[in-house]
Amino acid sequence: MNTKNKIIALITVVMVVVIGVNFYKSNNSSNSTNISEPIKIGFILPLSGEIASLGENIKDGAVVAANEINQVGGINGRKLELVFEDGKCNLKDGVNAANKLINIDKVPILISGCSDETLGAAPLAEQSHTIILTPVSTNPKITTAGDYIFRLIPSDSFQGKFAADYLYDTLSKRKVAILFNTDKEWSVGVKTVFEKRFLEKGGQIVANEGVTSESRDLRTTLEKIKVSQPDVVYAPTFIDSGIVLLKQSTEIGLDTQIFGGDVWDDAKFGKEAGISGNGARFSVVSNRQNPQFFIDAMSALPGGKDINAYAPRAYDAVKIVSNIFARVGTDTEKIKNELYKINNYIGIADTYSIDNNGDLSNAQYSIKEFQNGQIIDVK
Amino acid sequence: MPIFQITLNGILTGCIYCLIAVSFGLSYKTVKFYNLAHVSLILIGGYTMLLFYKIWSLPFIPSLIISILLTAVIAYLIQKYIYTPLRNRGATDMAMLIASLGINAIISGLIAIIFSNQFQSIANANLPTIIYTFFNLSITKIQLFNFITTTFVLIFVFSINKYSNLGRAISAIGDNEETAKIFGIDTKKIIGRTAFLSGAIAGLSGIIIGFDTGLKPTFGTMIVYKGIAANIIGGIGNLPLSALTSIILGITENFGTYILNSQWRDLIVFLLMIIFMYCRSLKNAR
Repeated sequence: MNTKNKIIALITVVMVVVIGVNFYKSNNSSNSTNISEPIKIGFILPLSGEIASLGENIKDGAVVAANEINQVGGINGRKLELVFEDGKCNLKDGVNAANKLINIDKVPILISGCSDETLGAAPLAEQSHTIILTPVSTNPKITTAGDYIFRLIPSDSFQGKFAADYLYDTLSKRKVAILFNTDKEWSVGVKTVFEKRFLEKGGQIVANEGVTSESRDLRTTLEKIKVSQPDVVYAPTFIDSGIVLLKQSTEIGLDTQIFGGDVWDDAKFGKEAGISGNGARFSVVSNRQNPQFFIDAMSALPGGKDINAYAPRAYDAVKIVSNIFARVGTDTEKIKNELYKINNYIGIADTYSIDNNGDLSNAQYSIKEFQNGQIIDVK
Repeated sequence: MPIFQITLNGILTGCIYCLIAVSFGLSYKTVKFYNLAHVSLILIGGYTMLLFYKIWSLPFIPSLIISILLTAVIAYLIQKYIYTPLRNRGATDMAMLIASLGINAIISGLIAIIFSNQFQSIANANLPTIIYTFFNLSITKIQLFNFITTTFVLIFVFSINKYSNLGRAISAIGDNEETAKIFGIDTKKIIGRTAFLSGAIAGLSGIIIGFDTGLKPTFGTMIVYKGIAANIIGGIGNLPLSALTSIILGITENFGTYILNSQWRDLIVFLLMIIFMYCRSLKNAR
């Protein structure tokens, strides 16, 4: 054995010893949990990029709930700590954020935002038996994403159906043109459900155009839609595409009713679309009227102005999770069983009942409309 | 099929590519590397206009002029204080490319910090867009502006290129910088002036994009790639041909969108580029 090999052997031995001791220690420490240590909840939210304003609002909703809990002494004497990671509303950053939260922060539970983030984190969460609870992601694929994946917002298998029923029955539209974002799970998911339902009802799809959420010049696409003479344009797009869509359809004189999805429920959207948005409608999950204490607490936070549909649900999510922590501690197996038992839990946004798939068993939607940059309710 | 409207849309899309292809080509002719900081010059043009015209509500013409000048000056400073010293130390084209990528990352990052990451348009959303209609074709005011300014810029650049001393010097440097130097051309000065001119055009294209479709700190890359594609198809450094191919690309892209599907939009451009490159390599091999 020459010197070089000796050194390598020595280093290997040292490393094995160090890792072994570390492993033993960490195993030991997790057995005797320190009671004063805070309980962590991990968050994967879109905190930068296109729908950052949405993410900030959701974040503040969760912060309001955590502040309330911590003010009255936390959970059985332990403080609640929220760890926020930016998932940038895509699969890749969702996975990175989940990796960090699960392996480094060792959170028992993740609260996630965009469908892409949730779907990215789901396999990791399943593997490490970490719970995901999402108050935002509506993609139908999440229903079957795993045993540890739950949500506090109805699946788009409801929203797509609702939109099809609303357009066909209430507005009596028969010919629909669809425009969606090919690179967003949410958009593709809700569009697929809509398509199926609208055809089943006897409607006709006269155009079906997919654009990326980064596309900025939709004029020719809209020209194509205009030529197909639809009664209504169904456009479950993301925010930027939606703004461009509304502006450019006004420009080319496409004066058909335009109908979007819940992502459009963002004050910034209305402001940027301005008068070109007038009359455009979208479906969004029905929340109860926000209670005054929540509005007050939110308005004190940086991103809490103009509360969207998800922030009160994020508040409810933190409350539900804290209740469960107080009852069964941080063992994820027990938390999972508790989550499946949720039945008629009354939160500030909705009354939640969770089914065998970890989905909400009921869904209610309302219709909103843009008028001069403002979002108003349609009765 | 509304053939004329789509052709018009194509020409207008092409006009933006055209501005970028020309400014990129000008820069390439003198510095001989892919200056990807062009992406950020477009951003600077757009965002300074946003600042002056929309946020500070200055009148249109002064804000336009200041924004374009500012972009040009920044382009000049980047050339003078970053690229030229690097070149003097013998940086390879690859190193320059990486440096330009770095500059781009810094500038777009700064813009995101100052103006937020969100999508915003320079045009006032609460005023109706002015649309002109003739022979059943519709064109917005900003599109008309786009068309007219592109035409002017092209005429301006081509005449400089052909008839002025600057143009001849640029061509000389494009052929061989060392020889140009030997023949008494002040290459540093010429390269600086070209950077200024190409920066001004890039800034103008950013302003038009900002009015027409809206700004976002990440938006520029794809548009610049398409401008570069037009440049490659037209022959790098061959400004008139790149301008022509930009328009052709714009038209093909729009017809492709209409006939095939919107999903094909970006693919078409790059598919065309690869076909052209392949054909050219066949021709050269013969």
